[in-house]
Amino acid sequence: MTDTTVTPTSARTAPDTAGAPDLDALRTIGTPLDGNVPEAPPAQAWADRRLHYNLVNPNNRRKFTVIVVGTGLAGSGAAAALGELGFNVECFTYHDAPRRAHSVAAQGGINSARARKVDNDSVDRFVKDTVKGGDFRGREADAYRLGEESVRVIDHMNAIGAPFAREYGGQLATRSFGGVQVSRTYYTRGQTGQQLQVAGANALLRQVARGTVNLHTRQEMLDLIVADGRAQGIVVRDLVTGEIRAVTAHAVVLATGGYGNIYHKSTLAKNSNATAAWRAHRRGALYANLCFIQFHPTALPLSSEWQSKTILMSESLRNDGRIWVPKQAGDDRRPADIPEDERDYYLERRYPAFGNLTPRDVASRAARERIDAGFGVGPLRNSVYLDFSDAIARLGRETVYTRYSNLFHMYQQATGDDPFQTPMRIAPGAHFAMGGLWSDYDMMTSVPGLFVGGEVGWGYHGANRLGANSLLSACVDGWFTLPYAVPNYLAGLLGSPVLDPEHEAVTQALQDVNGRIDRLLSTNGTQGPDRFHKRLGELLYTYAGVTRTPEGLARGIAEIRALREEFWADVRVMGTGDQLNQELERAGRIADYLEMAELLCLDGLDRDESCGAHFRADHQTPDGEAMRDDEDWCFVSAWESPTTPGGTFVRHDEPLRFEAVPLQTRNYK
Amino acid sequence: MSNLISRSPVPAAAPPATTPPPSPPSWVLKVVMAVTGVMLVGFLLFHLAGNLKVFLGAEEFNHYAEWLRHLFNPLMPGESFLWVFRVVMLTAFVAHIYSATSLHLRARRARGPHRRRAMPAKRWSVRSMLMTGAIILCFVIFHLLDLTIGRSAAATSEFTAGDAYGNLVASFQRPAVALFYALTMLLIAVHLSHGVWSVVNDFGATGNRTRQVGLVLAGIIAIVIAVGNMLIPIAVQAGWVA
Amino acid sequence: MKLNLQVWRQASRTATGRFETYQVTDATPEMTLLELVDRLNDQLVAEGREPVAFESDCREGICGCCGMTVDGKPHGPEDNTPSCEQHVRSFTDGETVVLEPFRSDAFPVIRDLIVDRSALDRVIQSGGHVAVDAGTAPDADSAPITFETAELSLDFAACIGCGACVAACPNGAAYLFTGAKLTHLSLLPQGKQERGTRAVAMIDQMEHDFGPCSTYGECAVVCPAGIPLTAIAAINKERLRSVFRRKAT
Ligand SMILES: Cc1cc2nc3c(=O)[nH]c(=O)nc-3n(C[C@H](O)[C@H](O)[C@H](O)COP(=O)(O)OP(=O)(O)OC[C@H]3O[C@@H](n4cnc5c(N)ncnc54)[C@H](O)[C@@H]3O)c2cc1C
Ligand code: HEM
Ligand code: HEM
Ligand code: SF4
Ligand code: F3S
Ligand code: FES
Repeated sequence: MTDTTVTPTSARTAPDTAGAPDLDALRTIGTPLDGNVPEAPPAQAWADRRLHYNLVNPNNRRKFTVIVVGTGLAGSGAAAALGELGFNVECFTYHDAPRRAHSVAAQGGINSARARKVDNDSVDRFVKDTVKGGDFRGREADAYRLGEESVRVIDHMNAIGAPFAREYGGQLATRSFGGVQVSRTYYTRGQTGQQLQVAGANALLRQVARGTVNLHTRQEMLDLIVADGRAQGIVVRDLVTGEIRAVTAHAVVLATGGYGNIYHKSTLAKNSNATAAWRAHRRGALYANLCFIQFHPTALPLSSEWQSKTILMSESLRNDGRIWVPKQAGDDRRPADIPEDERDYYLERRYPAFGNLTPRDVASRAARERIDAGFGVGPLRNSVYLDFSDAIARLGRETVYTRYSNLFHMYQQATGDDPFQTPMRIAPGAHFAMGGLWSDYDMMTSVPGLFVGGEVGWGYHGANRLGANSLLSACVDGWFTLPYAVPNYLAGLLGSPVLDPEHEAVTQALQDVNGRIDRLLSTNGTQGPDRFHKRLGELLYTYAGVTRTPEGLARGIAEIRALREEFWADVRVMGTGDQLNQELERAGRIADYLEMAELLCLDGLDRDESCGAHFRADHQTPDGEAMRDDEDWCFVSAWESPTTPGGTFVRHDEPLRFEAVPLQTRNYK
Repeated sequence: MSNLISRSPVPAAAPPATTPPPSPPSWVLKVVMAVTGVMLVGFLLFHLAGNLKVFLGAEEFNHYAEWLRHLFNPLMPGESFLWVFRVVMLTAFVAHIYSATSLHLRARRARGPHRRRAMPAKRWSVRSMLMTGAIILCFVIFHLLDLTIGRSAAATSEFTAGDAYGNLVASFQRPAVALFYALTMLLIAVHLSHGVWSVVNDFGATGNRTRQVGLVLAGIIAIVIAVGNMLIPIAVQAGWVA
Repeated sequence: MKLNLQVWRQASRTATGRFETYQVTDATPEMTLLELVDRLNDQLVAEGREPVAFESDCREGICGCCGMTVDGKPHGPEDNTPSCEQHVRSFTDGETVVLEPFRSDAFPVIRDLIVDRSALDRVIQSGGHVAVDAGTAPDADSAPITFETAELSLDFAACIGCGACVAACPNGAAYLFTGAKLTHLSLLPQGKQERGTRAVAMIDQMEHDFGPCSTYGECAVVCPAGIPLTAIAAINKERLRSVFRRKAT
C-alpha cells in the first residue's frame, strides 16, 4: 500500500507495512492555514502585535457582551480581566463554584522567566526550553509571549492572594522542574494549582460583586451558535433543572480545559470533558494535533478494578526521588531487600545529564519500556519505584517532609504505603492534552469571534509540554493575552447588537441540543455510559498510548467506530432530561469522546513521525530514541471533521518556522 | 420528543445579601457571652476565696461577710457598693442567659431539621452547656433563697440574717442540700471547662501559646472552683466545720 | 466484602427524601468510598434503577466537590479526609453504612447526596478577594514575606471549600471556612490593605446563612485541608480588630 502524501525520510524499524491502512480513504489534505503570526522577529512579535491592536473606548466597553466558558485559570483570568476593563461578561461553568475547575489539582508549580537567580535563565532560554521541549511542533512567537508575560503572571497572582513559597529572606522561592536545568518554577508547597485557582476564582467573584461579570454555575455548554460566520453565542443546559437555553454575545471565549479524560483513567478530574470544544469543532473550529497527549511518568499505578482514576504524584518528586526497577525481571523481593547493585536506575543510566529529570515523554516511555520488558514492580507488575531513601539520608527527614508533605500524605492515603518507609510505585498515566482547538496568534480559532485560552487550545506546548508551563499558559492567556486580543476583535463590531435570540442559528442550535439529549434518553439500551467510557479508555491506552504503531492506530479507529455504533444502539441513560441527571451528563460527554477518539487515532496515524509525546514505533533509532521528521512534518495538523456521514476528515496544515531556536534533535543524554 | 428548551434567562449565582445581618449580630452576642462569662468566673473565684474562709471559723467568716457588705466605705456609703455590684452582676447574668438562648436558637435554625449525629463522647460538655447553665440558674435561685434571703423551704428554719457562718453550717448539715451543692459544683466545672475555652476563642486569641495557656487555664479554673467549693459541704457533712 | 448501604434518596430540592437500602457484595478494602458508590451505581443502572447522584471531581482531595455524611459524620469515618479519599477498609464486612448528604440549612439538598453550597461562595464574593486589577501589581519580590509567614498563610489558604466544617457543626456555622479565608489574606502584605472592610463584609454575609460558633471543634476534626481550629478565633479577632481600628485596613 502506498502512502502518497508523505515520504518518510527516516528508516523504519518496522518495515512490514502490509497491515498499514489506507490513509487517503480516511482523510484529505485541505488548504494550508495562516497562523497570523506578526512579521516582526519572534522576540518582538508580541509588542509589535499589541501596538497594532485596535482598542475599545472605556465608555463603549459595557456595550459589548463576551461569553467566557470555564472558570479555570484561563477562564477566571479572562472573565475577571475583561470585567475589570469594563466589558460585560457572561461566565459559565458546569461546576457549582468557580474555584472547582481542574486547575485546582495542579501540584508542581508554575514557570516564570523572571530570571532572578544567576543560574543563567532568561526569556530566551525559557523560549528555547519550551520550543525544544515541545519538539519543534509549537509556534516560536507564542513561546516568546508566554515567556515575556510570565513575569507579570507571578506578580499578579501574588498580588491577588496566592501565597507563593518564600525563601528565609522573604523573596520568592523557586525550584527546578522536569526538563530544564534552571530553577524557574514558582510553587506553593504541592498545591500551586489550588492557590492560583483560588486566587483567580476570588478575583472573578470580585467582578461578580462589582456587577461586571454574571456568573452562571451548574450550566454546561452543549453547543456553539455560529451565525453569519461568527461565533455569537452558546447553548447551555441547566444541570439542576435540565432546561436548555441560548445565550448570545459579541464573542465567545472557550477556556474549558483539556481532553485527557478521553483515556478514562487519567490524572484529570472525573468531570473534565471535551464537549464544549468538540461541539465548537463540529460547528467549524479546527482541532489541532489531537494525538499529542502527554503521559505523566509519575501517576499512581492501577491496582484494582473499580479504581476510578490514576492520581498524579507531582513531577517535583523527581527532584529528590530516584527511579529504578530491579535488574532482574520478575524480582519479587521487597524493595529494601534488593541491594544497590541489583537495581537499575535506568533514567540515570540512559540519560546521565538529566537523570531522573528527563522530560515527561522520555521518562514515560522509558518506564513503559521497562514495564513491557517485564521489569515492572508491584502486584500487577505495572509500575516502577520512585525512591526517596537517598534524599532522606542526604537532606534529612525534616527537609523532605517540608518539600513533599502533602504529596506523601496523598500517596499514603491512596495506597496505604508510607513513602518514608518504602519506595513509591509510579506508572505513566494520561495527563495533558497538547492538542486542542486550533487558534491563530491572537488566540482566535478558525471561527471568527471564538477564542480559546488554556488547555482547550493547542498553543505553546507543541508535541510535549514542559512541566509547570501549562498553569503558566492558562494564566497568560486569561490575564494577559485575551484581554488584549478580544477587544481588538470587538472594536470592529462597535454599534452592532448581540445576536437576536430568535435568529434561526439560535433556534437550530437549541433544536440540535434538544435532539441529541432526546436520542440519548430514548436509546433504552442495556449498558450505562460509564461502561463505554471505560472500554474507550482501554482501547486508547492500547492503540494510542505511550507507544503507537500505524497498524494499532488503524485497528483503534475500527474498534472505536464499532464501539460508537454499539453506544448509540445500546446505551442506557436512566432518568429524564428535566432533572439533575448525571448519567445524561456523562452520556453526552462520552458520545463526544467517541467521535473525538477516532480523530485522535487518525491524527496519530497520519503523523508519520515520532515527535514529543507522539512516539511511533516505526520511527525510532536503533537504541529506541524518537525520530522526528522535520522535512515533512514541521507543521501543525488542524482537522476538520466530515459534515456528512461517510465523509472524510480534512487536514489543514499550518507550517512552522523557527528563527530563534534552530531546529535540532532533542538530546537528553 | 420532549422539549426542554426554555426562554427564561439563565439563572445567575445568587448575590450576597443586601439586607443587614441578624441583629444583634452573632459575633456581638458571642463577645457578650465571653465578657459576661469572664465576669461570672471572676465572681466565682472571688466568692470561692470568701467561702474558703469558712475553714478559719465563724468569727473570720462573718467578719469577712460584714466587710464585704461595707466595701469601699466611706467612699460608697452603707451597702451601696454591694448594690452596685449586685446590679452589675445581675445584668451580666441576664445578658449571659439572653445571649446564650438567642445564639442557641440561631444555631438550631442554621443547622436545620437534620441534627448532627454521632458526635464523639468528649463533646458532651459543649452539648450540655445550656443544660448545665439552666441547672446553675436553678442553683443560684435556691442558693439565694437559702443563704442570702433566708426564705424557707430552701433555707433552714434557723436562718438568722447576719450570721452567714451559722446559716451556712445549718444549711449544709442537711445531707440532701450538701449533695445538691456538691453535684452542682461538678456541673459548674463542666460548664467552665468548656466556657473558658470558648472565651479564649471569642476574644480572638489566635496565638498558639495563648490558646494552649487558655486551654490549660480552662481546666484549672474549672477544677479549682469546683473542688474548692465542694470542700465546704463535704467538710460540714464530715463534721470538720460545725 | 459485603456492605449494606442505606442511602438518602431525594428527587429534587422540593421533594421529600427517604432512605433506601442497597447491597454491594463485591466491595474491596482498597476501594475508596466514592468508588463504592460507583460500584453501586453500575449495579443500579444494570438493574434499570436510577443511580445515586453524588458530587465528585478530582478524586484526589483538592477540588472540594465531594462530600457526603457517612454514619452521621461528614466525609466519612477517617478524620481530616475528604470523601474521595475515604476507604472501604474503614468498614467491616457485613456492616450497614448510612450515606446522607451534608446536612445544614444553608446547604439545601438538590438531589440525593448533592447539596447547594453556594452560600460559601457568597461569603467570598462579599469580600474574600484583593482589589488589584490585572497588570497593576508591583514586583512580587518587592514586599518580602518571611518563610514562616508564607507557610502559615498557606496553612489557612489550604481550604478546599468543601463545606464539611458546616456539616460537622451542630450549629451550622461556617467559622472554620470564613476564618481560614480571613487569616490567609490578613497574614499577607497584599491582603492587609482591605483587612478591616473584608472582615466586616465577610462576617456579615456569613451570619446571613450560617450559625454562630459554640467552639464544638467538630469542624477541625473533619476538615480535609487540616485547617486548625485557630481559624474560628480569627472571626472575632478580625471583627473586633475592625471595630477598634475603624479603618479600612
Ligand atoms: C493532576 C494535574 C496536575 C497538574 N500539574 C501541573 C503543574 O504542576 N504545573 C502546570 O503548569 N500544569 C499542571 N497541570 C496542567 C494544568 O493544570 C492545566 O493544563 C490547566 O490548569 C488548565 O487550565 P484551564 O483553565 O485551561 O482549564 P481547567 O482548569 O480545566 O478549567 C476548565 C473549566 O471549564 C469549565 N468547563 C469545561 N467544559 C465546560 C462546558 N461544556 N460547559 C461549561 N463549563 C465547562 C469547567 O467547569 C472549568 O471551570 C496539571 C494537570 C493535572 C490534571
Ligand atoms: C455563674 C454562672 C455562669 C458562669 C460562670 C458561666 C460561664 C460561662 C462562660 C465563661 C461561657 C463561655 C462564653 C463564651 O462563649 O465565650 C459560658 C457559655 C455559656 N453559658 Fe454560661 N455561665 C454561667 C451561667 C450560665 C447560665 C445560667 C446559663 C443558661 C441558662 C448559661 C448558659 C451558657 C451557654 C449556653 C453557653 C454557651 C454559649 C455558646 O458558646 O454558644 N451559663 N458560660
Ligand atoms: C459550695 C459553694 C458555695 C458556698 C459555700 C456559698 C456560700 C455563700 C454564702 C454564705 C453567701 C451569703 C453571703 C452573705 O449573705 O453574706 C453566698 C451568696 C451568694 N452566692 Fe454563694 N456559695 C457557694 C457557691 C456559689 C455559686 C456556685 C454561685 C454562683 C453560681 C454562688 C452565688 C452566690 C450569690 C449570687 C450570692 C449573693 C451575693 C449577694 O449578696 O449579692 N454561690 N454564697
Ligand atoms: S475549612 Fe476545611 S472543612 Fe471547611 S470548607 Fe474549608 S476545607 Fe472544607
Ligand atoms: S464545629 Fe461549629 S461550633 Fe464552632 S468550633 Fe466548629 S464552628
Ligand atoms: S473529589 Fe475533589 S476533593 Fe474529593
